[in-house]
Amino acid sequence: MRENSNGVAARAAEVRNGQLAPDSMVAEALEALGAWEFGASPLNAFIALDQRAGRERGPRDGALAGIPVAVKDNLATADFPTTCGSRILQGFRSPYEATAVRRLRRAGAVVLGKTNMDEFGMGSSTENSAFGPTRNPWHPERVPGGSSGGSAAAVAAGIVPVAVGSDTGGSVRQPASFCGVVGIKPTYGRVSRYGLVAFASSLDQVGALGRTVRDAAALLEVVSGRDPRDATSVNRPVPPLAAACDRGVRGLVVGVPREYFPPRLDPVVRRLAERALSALEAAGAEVRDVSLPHTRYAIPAYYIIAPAEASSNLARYDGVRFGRRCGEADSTERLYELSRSEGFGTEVKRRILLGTYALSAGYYDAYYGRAQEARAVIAHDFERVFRDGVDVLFTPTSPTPAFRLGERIHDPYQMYLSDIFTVPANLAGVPALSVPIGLAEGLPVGGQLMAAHWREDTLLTAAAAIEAELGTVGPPPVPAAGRAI
Amino acid sequence: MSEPRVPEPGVTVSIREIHRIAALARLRLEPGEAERMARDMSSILEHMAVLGEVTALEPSPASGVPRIEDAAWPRSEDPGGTGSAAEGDETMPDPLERPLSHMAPDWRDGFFVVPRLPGVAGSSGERDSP
Repeated sequence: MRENSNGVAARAAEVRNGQLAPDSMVAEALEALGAWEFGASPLNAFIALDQRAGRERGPRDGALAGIPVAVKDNLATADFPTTCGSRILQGFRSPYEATAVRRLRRAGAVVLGKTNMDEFGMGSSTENSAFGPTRNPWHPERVPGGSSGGSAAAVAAGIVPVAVGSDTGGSVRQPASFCGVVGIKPTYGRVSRYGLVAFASSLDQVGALGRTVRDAAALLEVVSGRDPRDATSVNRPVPPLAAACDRGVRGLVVGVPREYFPPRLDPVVRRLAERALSALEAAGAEVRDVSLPHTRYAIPAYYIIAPAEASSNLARYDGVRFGRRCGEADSTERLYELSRSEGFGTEVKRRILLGTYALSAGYYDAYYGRAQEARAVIAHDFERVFRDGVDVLFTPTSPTPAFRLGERIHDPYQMYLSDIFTVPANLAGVPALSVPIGLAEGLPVGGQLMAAHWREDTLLTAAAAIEAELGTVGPPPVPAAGRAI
Repeated sequence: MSEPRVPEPGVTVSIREIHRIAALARLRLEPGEAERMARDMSSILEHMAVLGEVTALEPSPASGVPRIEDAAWPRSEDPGGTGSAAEGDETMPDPLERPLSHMAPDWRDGFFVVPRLPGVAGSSGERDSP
């Protein structure tokens, strides 16, 4: 794949050398946003927006000079509220900025706004937001996936070329798949979590979304690297990620884990995945069947470990230190209870209860202890296949294309199964990426690539080859109505 | 009674247990909400019973976890923690984006002024300096 003249690297270069006005891309973004958000079926991709973003005078420099970027609303920003899609943080302004956001600004990017999300990252459809659901740009009655659904929808709609999300169990990759864009969850420790509001600290990672593989790589390269403020960020050099897109896959060994192609897999998803594998073979890769035998423990382990960590992390929202406070309480205990009960939505309460149950006396060993053992055997599966010579694994990102709004919201376990192919990478801490592999009845389908720790470059090489062979799937048609803002 | 080592198939979470857990989590459940949560949690935990089949690995160094020597702690030769940070990163402690006084709903004589907690002696809900 060669540099696209519309890619963020090329356009930032035009800004740096004076061929493009520094605010021109922001103006384009606001125009696109007007078309999508003020039409008959508004996307509702943004929680907060800066209509004056990027209007300041003066030259812009850096790898993302003048590039408008959308940021998921669980990353702390100084100039926007940070709500995590929750009533309990409505109007909250962070006293500091997330390292990832600071690095974006330092690279010349313009933060256009904060994007909608499932409350505290808990959901797979962006329906669990106190600010209403986000719609899928490809179909107004379909979900965009979640929890980074606002970021994925904003990129798919062409409002911004790149966006930041976070991925605890698939929250970047699954919405990228549903919206027809590229989404990367890097290795745990690659990107600083400083300023990322904690959901499940051993699983959370900041991720990148882009219209193309190269655009997503450009954003990831800017935000990656050690940060003294996050002790879990790792002191390893960041390889040139955008350059990895040009390497080609000749000789690359692609593993196809049979557990990710169950008989009940949507037949169109299966067919598109097989087509993507053929494309990799045609480009020179060697495709090999492999097994990750403990995959079936991933969803149960994840839905014990993540809620357990969440029940602890979310204990800080008590109505006293920050966030929503109930004014009717007659005791301190009551103040805590009422503030939390009024502030949290149903899914967050459900996960807090599940996590508290799994950690409570009498159940800890049976649930939390067992889930940690399952996590270890799942991570061992990945180590083994990569040690045996596989460079990258290929699977569908999600078992189905985007489902209908409201279809799974009342069946929590069905919703959790949306993540069945994405949670293993978080449990093992390995990097993973979703790249579009085609359309199923007008809805995008994504293919997932997973690699050994710190091999984001290999993911990007394979993804760029798929993109070069199959092309991108977007953009979706822009709605006719709408207005300028 | 000893703690079970594996999840039990067919476990049902009672409404009484939901209220006990909710109290631990400092959540108050509305009428009908406890019943719904009991139903949902019983259904979810039914799927967790498969974890009982997991055979634990022999103890070994944790995999997939960053090594302690990789962590971003300030090093002895780099007491400010800045030596190999990405160029342009700020040093610790983190500078606040705005002065402290600008973050407080109320600020008096160098102190945050906060609402009294309910039930604290002398409280009538008015604001008071700590």
